[in-house]
Amino acid sequence: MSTQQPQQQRLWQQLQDKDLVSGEFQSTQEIESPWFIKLLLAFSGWFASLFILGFLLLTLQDLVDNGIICFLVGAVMITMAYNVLKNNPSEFREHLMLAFSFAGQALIAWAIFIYDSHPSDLLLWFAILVMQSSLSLVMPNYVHRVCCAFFASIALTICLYYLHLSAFTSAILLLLVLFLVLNEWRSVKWQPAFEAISYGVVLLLIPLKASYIIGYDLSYWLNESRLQPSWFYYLDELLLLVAMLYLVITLILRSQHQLPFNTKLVIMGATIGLCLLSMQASGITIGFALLILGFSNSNKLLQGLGMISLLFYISSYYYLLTLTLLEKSGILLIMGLFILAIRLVLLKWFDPIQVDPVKVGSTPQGDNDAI
Amino acid sequence: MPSSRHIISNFIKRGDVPPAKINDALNCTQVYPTINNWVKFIDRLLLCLGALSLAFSVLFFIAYNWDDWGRFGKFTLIESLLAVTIFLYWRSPKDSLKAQMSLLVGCLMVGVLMAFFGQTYQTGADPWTLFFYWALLITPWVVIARFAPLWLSWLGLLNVALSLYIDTFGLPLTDFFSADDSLWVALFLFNSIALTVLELSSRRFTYLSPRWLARCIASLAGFTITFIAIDTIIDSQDTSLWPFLFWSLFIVSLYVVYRHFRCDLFMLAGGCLSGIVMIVTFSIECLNEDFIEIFFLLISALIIGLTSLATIWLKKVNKEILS
Repeated sequence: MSTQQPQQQRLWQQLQDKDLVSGEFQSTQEIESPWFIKLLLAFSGWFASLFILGFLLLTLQDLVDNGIICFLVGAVMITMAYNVLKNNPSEFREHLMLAFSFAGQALIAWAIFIYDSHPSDLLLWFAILVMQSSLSLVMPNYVHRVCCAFFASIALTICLYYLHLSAFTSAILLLLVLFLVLNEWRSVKWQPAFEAISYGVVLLLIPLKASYIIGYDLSYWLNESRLQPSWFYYLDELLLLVAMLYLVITLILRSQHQLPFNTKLVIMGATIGLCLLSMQASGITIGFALLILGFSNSNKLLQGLGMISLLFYISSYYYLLTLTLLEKSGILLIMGLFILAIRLVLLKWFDPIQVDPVKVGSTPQGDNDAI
Repeated sequence: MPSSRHIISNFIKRGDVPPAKINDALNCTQVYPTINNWVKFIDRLLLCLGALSLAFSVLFFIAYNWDDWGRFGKFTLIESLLAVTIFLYWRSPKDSLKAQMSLLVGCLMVGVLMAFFGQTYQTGADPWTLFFYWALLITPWVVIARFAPLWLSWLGLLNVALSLYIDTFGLPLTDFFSADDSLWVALFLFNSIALTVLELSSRRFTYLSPRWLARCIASLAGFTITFIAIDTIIDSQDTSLWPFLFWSLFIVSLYVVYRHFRCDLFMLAGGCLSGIVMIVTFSIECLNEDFIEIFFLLISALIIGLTSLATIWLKKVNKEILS
């Protein structure tokens, strides 16, 4: 008997008691690889694809300038990878096909960029966005989906930049993550895809906000300077507030406990207050949202990412150049006092024993016992 | 051990739970937290975030060097806060998060006080002394706090102090390593010792047992030794074999300890990654420019082959751990 079987049996019993499953317990044999093995796989697949690409570019030197051939070779490689990946291949073939697909995507991207009569950079990046988004949905491989979602997020960020809307990027990406994670069980078939895509988007969202804080935003990387009205920044933060409200409202509606109207109002008010106060401390809303989102679905990885990003955003706030240290100090002081005041209110009003008298001490331990 | 989330996901994907009852199943098994868990979580989150915001607020204020506030006022502010944190620790239940956060903020205030003291009186001390004495002074608090993040911060301070010291004075290791590598070697040795001490004591002191603490330290030690070894491979003038000896010793120890004594898949995966990076770097260094196309293909096959082997082995170990 495996060590996980008693745990499986305990959970099965809980479900059976509530009439949520029927039939006899059958142990699940599927063992999912931990995240760091998937990361190792993604890293090596991506790195190997660079060498495959180098091989192709050197071997087909004369044909590299021909966009159509590059496109066709890339498309053949991706199709081949799709056909192999959908049949649960061996480890070696899976790695090989990951590398093949990434190299194929790079060839198609190259073909798009050398296309003679391209109308604008925006359309080129939009084409990349469409390709990567489609692959993240279609490709039957978890690691592949994460990587494609990551590349699609980069393409979306650049598209928004060319549309003069880059100030809204973080809010749009956060809303996307929230939607995917909060609705991951809407379709059982698509759950792995939703989960993988949400990780891909988060992996871009965190460094994107961080790059803004330390002064290396997209204008720096694209070597262009495009000034945006300063009120765009506040609009972005307001959109982040909307995203936070969406998260909080969804969680309140999802809860099995009927919270009093006043309690709901206090929760919403505290959320709005916190978002408004952290407007100048960029990134804190995002870190907060990821942490809460991870906790709400017992997703330890998302929780960890939220915690790391929150710590990073607070400490890197020192380097934000748009405010003096005195102003930053004042903002953090007010925010800290406000947060501790909310905590006091929470401890006074939300005595767990009053809110949920039946469950205290009687419920079995879940994944969410502590941070 | 797999999480409840993972097990319930498998039940759902297997079709054991009807689609209409998925939300109920997730609520019933606490994959969706109960109201009690929410209150506990939000309480802890707000406490940590509020305390850190206040601590950083003071740090930024002192760093601003505001002339309108004299040095007496600033010293009073920092020392008062230091006293408040100790008072809060004293009044809080032992080993509670509130007590631990109070000491963490107190430790931060000690650093702010020392930095401000050095800035005000221009003591002329070397920068490494600030971090070293800061770590030394807070050691008793770190011990009594029984708080893993504080231990990691303390180790971070010592790492910074060591880096700054070597940057200023160097190390008498130039017979074995290049001057640049000496810094990395020292950091590697220091963190390896810290990891050994942690693993030996974590069974006795449960507050040191969270695996993320050992994993952070091992990642730092692993990164530094891999970096030194790669640097030696790339640098054609550096013919020292010491980095490879250290690297081999580290990888063998990692395997023996985390495969046979305390099974930890993360550590083994890190060792595999380090090995793959070393072999691939060595192969790239042997690049023959006459057959560069074939070489590129071989390297990609090598990466895929090595990673496949590593993944197969890691999955096998994972299965063993869970069975």
